[in-house]
Amino acid sequence: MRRRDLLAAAAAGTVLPRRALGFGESSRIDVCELDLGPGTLSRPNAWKRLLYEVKQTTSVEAEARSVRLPPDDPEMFAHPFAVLLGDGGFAGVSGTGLEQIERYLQYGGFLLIDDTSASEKGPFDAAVRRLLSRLYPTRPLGPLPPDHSLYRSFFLLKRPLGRVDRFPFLEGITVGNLTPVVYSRNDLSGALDRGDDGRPAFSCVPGGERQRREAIKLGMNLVLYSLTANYKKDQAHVRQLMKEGRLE
Amino acid sequence: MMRWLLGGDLGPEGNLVWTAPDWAIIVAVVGALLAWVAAGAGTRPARARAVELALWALALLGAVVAVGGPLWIEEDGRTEPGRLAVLIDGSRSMGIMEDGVPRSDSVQRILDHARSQAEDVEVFHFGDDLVVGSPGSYELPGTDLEGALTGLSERFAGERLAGVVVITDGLDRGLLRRRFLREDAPERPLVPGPLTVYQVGAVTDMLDLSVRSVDSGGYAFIRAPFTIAADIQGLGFADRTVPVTLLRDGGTVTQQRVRLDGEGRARVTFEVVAEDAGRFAYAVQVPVYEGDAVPANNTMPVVVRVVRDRIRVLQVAGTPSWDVKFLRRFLKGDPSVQLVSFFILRTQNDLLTQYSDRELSLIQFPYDRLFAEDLWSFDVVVFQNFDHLPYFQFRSAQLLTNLRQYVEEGGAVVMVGGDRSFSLGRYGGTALADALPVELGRQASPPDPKPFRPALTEEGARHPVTRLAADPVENDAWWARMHEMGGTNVVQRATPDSAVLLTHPSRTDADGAPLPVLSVREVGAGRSMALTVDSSWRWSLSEAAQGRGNQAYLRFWKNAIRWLMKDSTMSRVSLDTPRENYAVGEEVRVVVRARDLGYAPLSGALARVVVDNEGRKERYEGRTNAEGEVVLTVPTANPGTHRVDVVVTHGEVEVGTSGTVFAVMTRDPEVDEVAPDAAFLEWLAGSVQGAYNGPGELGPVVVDADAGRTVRDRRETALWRAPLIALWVGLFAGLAWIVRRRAGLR
Repeated sequence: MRRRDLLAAAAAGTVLPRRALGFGESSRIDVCELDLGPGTLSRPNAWKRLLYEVKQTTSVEAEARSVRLPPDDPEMFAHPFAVLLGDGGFAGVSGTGLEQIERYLQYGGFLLIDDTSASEKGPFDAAVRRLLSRLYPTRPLGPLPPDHSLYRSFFLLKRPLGRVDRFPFLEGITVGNLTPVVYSRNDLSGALDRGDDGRPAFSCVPGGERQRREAIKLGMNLVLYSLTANYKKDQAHVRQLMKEGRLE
Repeated sequence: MMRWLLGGDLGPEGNLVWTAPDWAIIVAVVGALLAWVAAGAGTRPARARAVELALWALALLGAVVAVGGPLWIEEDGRTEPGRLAVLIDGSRSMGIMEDGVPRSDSVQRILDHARSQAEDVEVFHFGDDLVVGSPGSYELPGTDLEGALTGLSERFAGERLAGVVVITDGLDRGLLRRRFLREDAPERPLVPGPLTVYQVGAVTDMLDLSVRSVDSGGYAFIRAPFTIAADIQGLGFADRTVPVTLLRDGGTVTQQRVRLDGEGRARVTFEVVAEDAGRFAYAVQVPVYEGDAVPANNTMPVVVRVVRDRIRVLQVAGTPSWDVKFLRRFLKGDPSVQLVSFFILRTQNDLLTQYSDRELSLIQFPYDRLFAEDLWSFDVVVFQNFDHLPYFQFRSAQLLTNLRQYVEEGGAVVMVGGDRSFSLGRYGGTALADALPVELGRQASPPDPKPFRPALTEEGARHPVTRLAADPVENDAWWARMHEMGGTNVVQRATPDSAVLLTHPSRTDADGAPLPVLSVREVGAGRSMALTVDSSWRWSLSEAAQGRGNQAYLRFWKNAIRWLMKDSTMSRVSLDTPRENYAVGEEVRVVVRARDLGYAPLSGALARVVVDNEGRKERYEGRTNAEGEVVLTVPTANPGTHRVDVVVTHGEVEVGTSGTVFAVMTRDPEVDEVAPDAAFLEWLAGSVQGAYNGPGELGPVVVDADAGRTVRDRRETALWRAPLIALWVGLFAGLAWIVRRRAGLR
């Protein structure tokens, strides 16, 4: 696809003051951080940055904010994009909380899990696997294939980079043709996070800013995937991308 | 004198039978004894007493005899010569034309010949049953020769007939010929006398081209090829090539030339693609050549029900959002829906300078192809927070006009709210706005961002789109507890011909009426829906938060899609028949259902039904009952396609129209085969040692000279009413009375 074709898709027209006219808050995308107590973390600036990038780069109406909620708070159903990040073992979720997460995911919610420790066998990873085995006893967590929709929901990505480049794949739980749970172990939120001064909170290794750029693209793809699911697997898209040589 | 006294002639061979019931005789005897004892009372000379009692005894004896009901029965018998029964085939196949005259023309000559062979001739005709007398016409719909012979045996039970004559073409449709054709040693029929068969009709030079059968499978899927297969048979057409035409609604769809084999048979297959759903009348036709024995079997109709395999929905969204995600999730999850989605992932306002095109997975929005070429292949188009101007550009006017035309011609369009929808999407004054159920201003109206819970209107309480539960009270409860919406587009007002199903609880439109939130409208042959909110997804996830699942959301959108698709269960007037194909003579139950604007059953509505059988129109009328239903019974006297249309009115107002079609098969088993079956008739005669006469032959009728019948006479004389008994009783009672008076008694 040539640049002018893309521009044709986003052709010039009347520029409306959209944001000013936007509906209430519920129509905008934001992030819900799940608070499972010690072992889990909160990085609101990471999500603000991600949502800012989404808002600037895509047509998605995003509100650059996040809320932190315990899993038994029904308010989480107002925020269909949820994240769970941490670096330590967290306690088991209560029956009510577990039941609510299960309903949330069953009826359309999306959960991104981020292991900020990026370790091979850390306590957070173990706690995540315990939680997911309770949520989906018959569906194992497994690597997502390279042609998964989230690698092409906005950007064409080949590798899921975060603050580190250690695990060459994302994991997830797929139900039917949807993946309501995606698990990143490369500390994606670490690549997105910023300090109060606006500077990146962590360095990305080994790729530096180039790697951060890819991590931001992955973050945006995850937001777009949560909104459009397998849209990019529709035949019209696949055929066109293959025709243009952007997809093999 | 004696004959008068006894009430008739009494022969010596008769029997006396007492006809009164036993109890009557016992009562009479007891009564007589009591009377006799009573008569003995009183003082008188012994001789007078004895004489009187003797006379009373004789009188009472006569009375008892009379009460006993004596009957003198004499039986006698005589032998009469055997009768000849003639069975004439009265079926339609006897009317087949041969050399310009019907086959049945030779029947009278054979009948005259039979009458000349016997004195006592009784004539019957048969189709499926045996009937006394000659056939008035040859139009019976079946031929059951064995049934006729059995009927004859039962009619003349115990009598040996002098002969049985059968006049037929041998095209028996009953079990007898079926056994003959299938079995090596078929069981012979029971014939109550020597059989003589006279065949009418000959195979020589007969021509008949016919469609023997048509098979469509009964139903097909829209836009998916299906086959209609037909068996063609041509008597006198062996090894010839004939054109076979497939018709739909009387017009030619396609034609094939097929070569019939050595036995004059061929099978032809048509591949058909139906573009619309509904019932369609197809017919397979072969030409009627000069001399065709049965032109009626040259066309055979069949009605095919075309159903949608999947509903094609085009979802166009101006931006991915939760509302877009949940609607796509619903549509993708419905196996009856084939979804094509296009989401605008980037607008001209979005910055992409730091990313190259090759990093993106975006494709160009094929708006021109979608809205200029492919539009009519979709059943429903959903504009979800989509603003047309940035994409359609200078083609906007044309493409939106296409959309309006698409709706008017039977398509369906939904506009869902958002900051790119309705007047915010600059749809005011466009052709598409003309097809929406709400009026839009040319200037963008600011949305109302305040959360609110939509109110179900009176129409909404009954309308199928907003009927989440069958029970009205439960339905109200569902809507009352639904999650709040996060703001709404503001429209000017609902169009006058729309139905407003949900309204804003506090805001009003330009006329001061509650602001429409969900409205629907019928536009030409199509339908449109306007939902002015962008957070209907909350009816899914927020309901789930309460442990109520997402049924409210699923039911709402499923109802909406079905209504937009004009699902027959959701149209205000529906017309249906239980089947698509019928046989001649069957009655068809035409069921008309009517609903009011709010989809409540409409009682007392007048349904005017016209059944058009290829130009022959019959009209029926009926009024709907409390369930909004009227059932009309339509006879099927003629074969062919029957198009049924109904107009339902209530008072002066037209409620709606509907239509359907059914076929009455021209297939008549009596003219399926036209060539006389000489082999069968020869076997039939031979199997019972009878005689077979070929066409035109008038051989002698086989007669059993010893056959005959005994005619029995029975004569009854009612002695109880014979004058002798009355005289007897009167005489002896009178004498007894005289003796009694002389003895000084009363």
